[in-house]
Order: sequence, then C-alpha cells, then structure tokens
Amino acid sequence: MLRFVIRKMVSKKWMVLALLIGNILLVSITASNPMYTQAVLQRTLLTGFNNYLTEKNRYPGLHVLRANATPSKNASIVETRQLVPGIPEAFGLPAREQVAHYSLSPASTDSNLERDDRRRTQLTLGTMSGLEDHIELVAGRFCSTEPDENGVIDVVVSERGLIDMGLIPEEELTFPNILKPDGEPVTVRIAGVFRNSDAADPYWVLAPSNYGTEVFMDGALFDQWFFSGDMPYGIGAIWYTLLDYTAIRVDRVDEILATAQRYADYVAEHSNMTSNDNFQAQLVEFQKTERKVRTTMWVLQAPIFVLLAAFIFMVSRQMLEMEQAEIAVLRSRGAGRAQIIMVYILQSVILALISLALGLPLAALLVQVLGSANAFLEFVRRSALSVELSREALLYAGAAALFSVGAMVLPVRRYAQVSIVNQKQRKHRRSEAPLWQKLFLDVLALGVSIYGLYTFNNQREFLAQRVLEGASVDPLLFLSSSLFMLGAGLFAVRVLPLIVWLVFRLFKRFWSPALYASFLRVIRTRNQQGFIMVFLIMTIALGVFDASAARTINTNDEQNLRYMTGADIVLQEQWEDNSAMREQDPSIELEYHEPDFDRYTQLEGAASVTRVLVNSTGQMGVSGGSVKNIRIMGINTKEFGQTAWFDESLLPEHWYNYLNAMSQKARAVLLSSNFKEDYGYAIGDAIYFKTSTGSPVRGVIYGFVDYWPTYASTVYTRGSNGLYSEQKNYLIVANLSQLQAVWGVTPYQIWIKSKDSSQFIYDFAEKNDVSYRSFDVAAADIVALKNDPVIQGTNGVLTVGFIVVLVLCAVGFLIYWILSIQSRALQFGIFRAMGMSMREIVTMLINEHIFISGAAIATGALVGYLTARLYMPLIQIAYSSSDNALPLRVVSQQSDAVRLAVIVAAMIGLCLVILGVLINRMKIAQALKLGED
Amino acid sequence: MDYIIKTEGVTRCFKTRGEDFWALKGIDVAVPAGKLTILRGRSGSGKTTLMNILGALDKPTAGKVLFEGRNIARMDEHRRAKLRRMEIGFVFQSIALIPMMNALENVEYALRLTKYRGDRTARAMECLKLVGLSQRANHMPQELSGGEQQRVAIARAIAHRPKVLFADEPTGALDTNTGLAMVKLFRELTDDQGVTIVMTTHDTDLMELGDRVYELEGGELIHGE
Repeated sequence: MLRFVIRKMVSKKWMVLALLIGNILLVSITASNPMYTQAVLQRTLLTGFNNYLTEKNRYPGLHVLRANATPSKNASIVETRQLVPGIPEAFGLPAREQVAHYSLSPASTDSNLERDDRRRTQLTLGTMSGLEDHIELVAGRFCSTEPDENGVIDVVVSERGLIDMGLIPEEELTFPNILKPDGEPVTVRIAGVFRNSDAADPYWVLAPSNYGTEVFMDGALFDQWFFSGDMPYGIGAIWYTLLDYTAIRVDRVDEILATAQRYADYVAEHSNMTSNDNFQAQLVEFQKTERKVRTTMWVLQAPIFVLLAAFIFMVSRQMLEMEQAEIAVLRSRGAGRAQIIMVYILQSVILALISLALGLPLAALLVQVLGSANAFLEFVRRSALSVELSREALLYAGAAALFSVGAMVLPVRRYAQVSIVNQKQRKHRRSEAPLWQKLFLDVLALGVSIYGLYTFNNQREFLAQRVLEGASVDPLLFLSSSLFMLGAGLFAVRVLPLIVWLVFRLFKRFWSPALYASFLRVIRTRNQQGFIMVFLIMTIALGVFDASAARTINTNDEQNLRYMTGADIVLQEQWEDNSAMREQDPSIELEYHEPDFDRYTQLEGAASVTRVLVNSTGQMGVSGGSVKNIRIMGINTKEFGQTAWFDESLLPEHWYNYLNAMSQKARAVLLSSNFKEDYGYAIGDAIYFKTSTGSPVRGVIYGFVDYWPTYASTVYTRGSNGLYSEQKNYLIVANLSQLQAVWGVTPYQIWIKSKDSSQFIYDFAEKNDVSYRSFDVAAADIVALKNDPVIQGTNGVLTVGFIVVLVLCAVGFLIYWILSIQSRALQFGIFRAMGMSMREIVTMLINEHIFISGAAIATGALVGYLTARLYMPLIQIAYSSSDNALPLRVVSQQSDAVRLAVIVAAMIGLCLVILGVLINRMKIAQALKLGED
Repeated sequence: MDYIIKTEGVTRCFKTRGEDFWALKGIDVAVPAGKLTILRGRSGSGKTTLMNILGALDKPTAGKVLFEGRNIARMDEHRRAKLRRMEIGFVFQSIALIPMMNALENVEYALRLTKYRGDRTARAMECLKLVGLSQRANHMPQELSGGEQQRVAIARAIAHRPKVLFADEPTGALDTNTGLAMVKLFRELTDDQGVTIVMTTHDTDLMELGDRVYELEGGELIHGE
C-alpha cells in the first residue's frame, strides 16, 4: 500500500509539491506563533528588567525578607533562617547571591581610649554573610574568627562608619549590656575599614555607606554567641536573595508570582516580619503586555490561517478532481471505501510528517524574520531572538499538521463513494451554484460585518478607553473586518460573472473568436473558477489590507510622536534663578539666568534652531468665567516654521500662512478652534491672557487652528476613580517677543531640526555637561516605539502574512491554471484542428486571465483597500496612546502596491510561459487522442 | 478524374524511446474531388497518421502532399492553420465538441473562425438541419447522445463549406446502426452537396459505401482502388 501511495504521489508531483508548500507554511506559521510570542516576550521581560537595573540602579531579581528584633520573636527568625536557603529553589531560579544580615539592637559602648570626642556611643553589632568576598579593605585586616587571649574580637567597619561613629583604628569598644555566652561583655577591636570592591556589585543592596553605625563581626562567632541558648538578645535579620532575573522564563511568570505571594503570606502570618521584592510589580505589568501581545498575534494571524486552510483544501480537492477517474476505476474493481480513504490518509500523513520536519526549522527562521521586522517589509538587526522549540510550539505544529490531514482526507469521503458510473453521470450534469450562493452567505457576511462596523463606530470612545486601560485589540473587530473581506469577496464572485455576461451580450456580434470563446468559458464554467476567484480575491485583499494596516499603524504612531514632540529635538536646560534669595526676601522679583542660546545655533548637526516658550498654566477670562490650564506657546514665527515638524495638510491653509499672519503684528495670536466653538471668539477680537505667575498680556486674534505642533485638542486623563475621561485642551500661540516683553525672560524650550542624525545633541550634552529639565529626541522615541513588543509583533505578523499571501497566491494561481490547461487539452486540440492559430489560443488564455485572475486581483485590491478604509480607524485605536492627537489617516504606500503588482505580474507572466510551453508541446493529434475518455 | 489531394512517397517516423518507428512507409494516394474516400486498416496500421497528414494536422517526415497543387508538407504552421480553418473540416472519433457551447454555438463558432460573411446563425441552423438536429440546436453537448453529438460535429465541420471534410473513425464511438446512419449522411453530403470526404474506419462493412478505398497495414498501402 505504501509503495502504491508513494508511486501515486510521484506521478502527481506538482500537486503534491503544492500541497506540501501549503502544509509547510501552515505548520511553520502555526508553530512560529507561540515561538515568536515566547521569544519576543522573553526579550521584553529581560529588557524591562535591564532598564530597571540601569534606570533605578537596583537589582531587579532582589527578594527581601526582614524580621524585627525583640527577644520574644527570635523563634520566628530561627524558623525563617532555615527556610531562606530554599528560596531560590522555591522560585525555581538560581540565586546570584544570598546575603543574610543579622544584627543586634543598637547598644551603648565604652571605648578603651580616653576620649571625650566620641560622636556616638550607640552602635550596632552585626554580621553579614559573604562580606569578605565583596569588600576591599582600605586599612587594617578582616574580622577574627576567634577572640584573642583577652577575649577581644576584631571587627570591620565601612569607611562611612568610621567617620560617622568617629572611630579610631585599633580602638577597642566594649558593649557592657551584651554578654558572651561565658557571661563576659562583648569587646570588639576596630581592626579594618572597608569599602565595596565593585560599585556595581549587586551584593550591596544597600551600599556600605548605609552601614554608618554598624560594626561587623565574624558570622560563625555571631551564631555561636547569639543564635544559641535561650537567645536573650533580639536579633534583626534581613535576608537578601538575589535571584538571577535573566533566568526568569515567560512561561514561569505565573509560578514566580505565586511563589512571591506564598512568601508574602508567610510574612503576613508573622507580626514582626516584612518582605519586598523588585520584580513583582514588573511581572504584573509584564503580564498585561503579555496578554496584549498574545491576543494581537492571534487576531492578526487568524486570517492567514484561514487562507492556508482554504489553500490546502482547494489543492487537495483539485487533486481529487484529477484522480476522480482513478478512484472510480479502483472502486469498480472492488476496492472498498475504507481502502481508498486509507490511501489518502497515508498520503496526507506522509505529507504532514514531511511538513512537520521542514516546517519547524522554517518556523524558527520565521521567528527571526518576525523579530527583526522594524516596519512593514523592513528589517533591522536587533539582538537575535532566542528561539526555542517549546512544548507549546510542538503542540501547535502538531495540531496544524493534524488539521491539514483532516483537510486533505475529509473531501475524499465524497469521492470515495463514486463509482465510474456515477462519475460519468456527474460529469455530464450541469454544474450547480455552490451552496454559499444559494444560501446568500456572502450577503449575510457583509451584513453582519457592516453592522459590526456600525456598532464599533458608535463605541469608539469606549474602545479608546479600554485600550488606555490596557486592553488589546478587540478580536471581534478583527473578525468583523475579516468577515467583511470574505463577504465582499464572495459577493464579487457572485456579481462579476453577471457583469461579464452583460458585456458579452451587449457586444456579442463583435467579439473575435478568441474573445468569444473565453467569454463563454468564463460565463458558463463559472463555478469551476469560483474557488480560485474567491481565493485570489481573499489573498490579494488580505495582502493589501495587511500592507495598509501596517503602514497606517506605523505612520500614524510615528507622525503622532513627531507631532507631539514638536521637532526633531526638543529640550529645555535647567535654568538657574534667584529663588534661593527669594526665600529669604519674598519681595525680590524672580529672575532667571538665561543659558547661552547661541551654543545651539552654532551646532554643526542642526539645520535650524528656535526658542519656544511653553506654559501650560495659562488663564483667560471668558464670558461666564475663565478658562484655566491653557497651553501658551511663544514662538519666533520664522524660525518656528523652519524648525517644527508639522504636516501641512492638517490645516485648511498652509501653516506658513498662519505664521506669516502672526508675524505682521506683535500682538497677533492664534487660538485653538475650541475658543471659537465654545466661547464665540472671532478673528480680530482682543483678548487678555496670563499665566499663573505673569501679568496679563493683550492679544489680537489672527486665526484659529485645530492643530499645532505639540497641541492635542482633547486629552484623556485618568481621574481619581481610575477611569479615563476626555478633557478639552485650549491653546494660545503668541509672539515670543511679546510675551517676553511682559513676563521677562523665562525658561523656554529649544527646538532643533536636525540635518540628518540627531546624535550631535548627545555629544553636545555630554561634552558640555549640561543638565536638562527635559530632553526629547524624536528619533530615539521612535526607536523605542518600534521596540514595543505589540508594535513589533504586529509588524512582524503583517509582514510575514503578506509574504505568505504572495507565496500562496503564486502557487495557487499556477496550480489552478496548469490544471485547467491540462484538463482542457482536448478542447485546445479541437480549437487547433478547427484552424485556430497558436496566437489566437494564447489570446484566448490571456482573455481568460483578464476575466478571471485579472478581475479577481482587481477586486481583491479593491476589497482590501475598502476594508482598510473602513476598519483601520477602529483598529488603529488599539495601537494609539492617550496623546493621540492627529486625525487618523489610512495610509497605503504605493511601493507596496507596486510590490504586489510586480509579484502578481511575474506570476501571471511565469504562468503564461508555462502554459505556452504546455500548449506548444501539446500535439493536436495527441490532444485529441487524450480526450478520448 | 479530378483529384483534390495527392501524395507522393509520404513517410512518417515517430521517435519513441530513442527508436524510430515508421508509421508510414511511402504512401501514394489521391483523393478525388466530390467523392467519399475511405482509409481502412486495423489500429496501428497508420490510417489516422495518414489522415492527419492529409488534413494538415501533421507533417510528413518525407514526401509531398499536394493540396490543390500546393505542397502542404512545406507550409509553416500559420499557413496550415489558415488552410485548416478555411478549407478543411474535421470530425473526430472522440466526440469533439466545445463543451461550453451549445449545438448551435458550436457550429456558429466554426463560422466565426472563418470570418464567414453573412448570417452565421442562419447558416449554422441550415447545417444542423442538414444533419437532422435543428430541434436540438440549443442543447449543450453533454445533453446530447453520442450520435447526436457526432452529427453536430459534422454540421460544424461542413458549415464553412470546406473543400474537404476529414472524419477519423466517425463511427468508432457509435453503435452499428447510428454508425451506418452517419456514413449514409456522408454519402448524402457527397452526392447532394458535392463535399469531398475522407474518412478512416476499421469496419469492413462500411467499405462498400466509399467511392474509393485505400487499405493500410503496417504503414504500407496494401490495397488501393
């Protein structure tokens, strides 16, 4: 049987190859989903921790248990002490370090030296495990492990401790109230002074300078003296566990949080204990991101899965169609249904196994592609993702393979029942309209999706709020858009033949023989083409939609960021002022010391530089009250126009016209349009506005704007109830000179337009050691934006989706046409015998291409574009941040359309060449013989 | 007698698995105009190959084929296609109608190809009437019986008034009675319409109906009358 199956597969090698391609893609894409999600989340997790480490300079993997010092509570300390070594294991993470710090309550000491300058007599006697390995002795020696003949022990202190406690090396101190087990008071000798050997050593959760009142003794001796017997002294204990945070794996985050909770519960049971860690908050935040990434990935990939499934189904059906006769013959010769199904099961299992073997490595490759996708069809070198073949990935791949076996075997059932007689009968029946056409599923899908669109559009604000609260894209929204694509595609397949029919009828008399034949074929065999048309429409639509979605998301986010930043570089230096003097004498006026602005104008990499005064505490009296928190911007019109980033299409006129108008008069101001709408201001009106501190300024309204660099007309703010609400923003743009004339020179921002890279500003800041109040570089923020795992994943999935679409499209297209030519060999023979020339036959085929593929591709592009238009404004919400100020524009980049067109054209070209060769090789006589079945 | 096609020493060699197979080994035949010529032989005798060569579907390896004095063995594919289109009609053993066109359209299509001037539909109907199928003009091929389909094929082959009608085993797929009716139809076409017909058959019973009969065996003419 196996040999029979293999021989059968070899004989149909092209179909089998196509099936294999579909299968491999399905398996690899399915497997790549969990692999990628895992990898990118792992990277996100680690990056988050690393950022925490560099920004806060605290070790992210730190877990701390503390127990208080009273003698009565010592039991819990002893108990906890037993438990601490098990912490790393409980978390399932290796520990870089475990530090136990025990100390007795501060106690008074007597010095052996005659001193009256002792700053502090209350000292803490403590010990810290592993101390010796993490210090550098500045002077003296380390602790002794045994008391000397006089019962004195050597202890060490930190540099700060030496100063704070005012100690002198070799000084001996006696704790009269702390007795050794032998009843003698403890006496220590300051033998050494230490500092930490490495400033970045995580061992020092608290730097040595924090131990200003503590002397450190040997740990074993401490145990022997104070952890034995009835433990009369209260011990304070702190256990630091430095878990290796780099070993935290995404799939174990839940367990780690649970473990942390268990320790928290343990601590809660003991009144004298507290605990904290540096990772819980991070992990909880991470879980939110994780959910978002996972949903986004699935939602984005779902249409690709559907397409792949449809592809496999289509190809296997085509193959069955081809093998129908063989099956029928086998049936008539007595092969049972089960046997025939077995043949196909065997075949599909072989295919599934091969695709598993090839699909998994491909999945790993895909993950790298996904990980390096920076924008749509754009890749950058990022740190490689660590790809692992997790159990989850294997499971998914297996499920995909199983699914494809199902998709390949299920249709067999129908064919296996057919004997040669039924087959002949079926062949001679006129093809019926497919089920979906009879049930009007296309209209239904369109209706449901448009209703969904309508509903979602009404819920825009709710959607935006949910996103702000951390939700991901609503899968229903994506479902609705996919449904729309499907519905529109099917509807087009229903309508297109009617249009072709109409054109055909209208000009029936004028068609050349070739056109006439192709028209008739398109019209009369439309159900055969239905599937390839639906498939082509869906693939192209999805491709166009994917491209448009990715472009829209990226462009809008990027533009929004630029708009909200204002210019390539926006910074404000820390200004010195006389506020210290004013504290003494409030009557002195606040004066600022203006830093030298010319340093910026002379910067090599700056194309233009301008000063912008930004104050968000503006106030203005209006009829019936006053408007507060107005954003006031003071600008130098000419430089501002040269420097700020602004999309000129945002305003009804070019924004330079507004700037020009403003430059005409010193008092000219521009107001945000909501002043006009809410308070009825008009151009030419005079207004008075001031800041919380400055005196009123008179302005004359020269224009109203909806958009202005950095200005968002509405913002979402989180109220005290934790919910986000919309808030109106007002803006006044005035001439800087006018504002400075009234308010004096107050701290302003410096806006810089870079020639190309913005690197120079970092160099400048570093070289001159300037301290900045704010420092925004748009390019850096964009990079940060692109590294967001959701955006990254989206770009990756959409890019891969697009590529897969192209591959499927090409393969599906070729298969369909080659098969259609092969199965029509007889027909071509007839045409040739009737004296049709090769040219005419090729013309005929090209016509068919135009009517079937061409129409489908055009429709697909249209459907994709339409879907993007209708749904992107909603989908974009999921990716935008709270300060999304710009109106959403659906972006479709011509280069994507060109790419798609080039590939489609290449496909059709290749197809025509193959067809040409096929037809050319086809001997008429032979073709006629072939047709004798 | 007036001959429309004459061959001189026609041979045809097929290359199969590197070996030469001579399907025709020097054939000289002449097809009289306005008569029914029959090529007879068992399968593999070379009769279909000969007919394909006579009908400009295939080229001989060597020899001359004179169609009204023009050597079609030397013609390029384009001119042969034109010749087939304008001056030749074919009927095949396999029922070779264009499946997506109905009976009338099938016949009309041949007229379209030849750029027939005049009312194509009327001429097509006329031909269908000639083969006795005017009642079924609007049926699709798969709705017709084998004999009916073959008659449509004949109507299509003669619609543009070709000089010669070639029929390769036209009765092969039909039962004896239908087959006989078919040949009778051919007889009528030659006698009443003056069409020249060349048909192949393996059926000895039909031979008597021919005006001229050539018998082939193993690529050689064993009987020519």
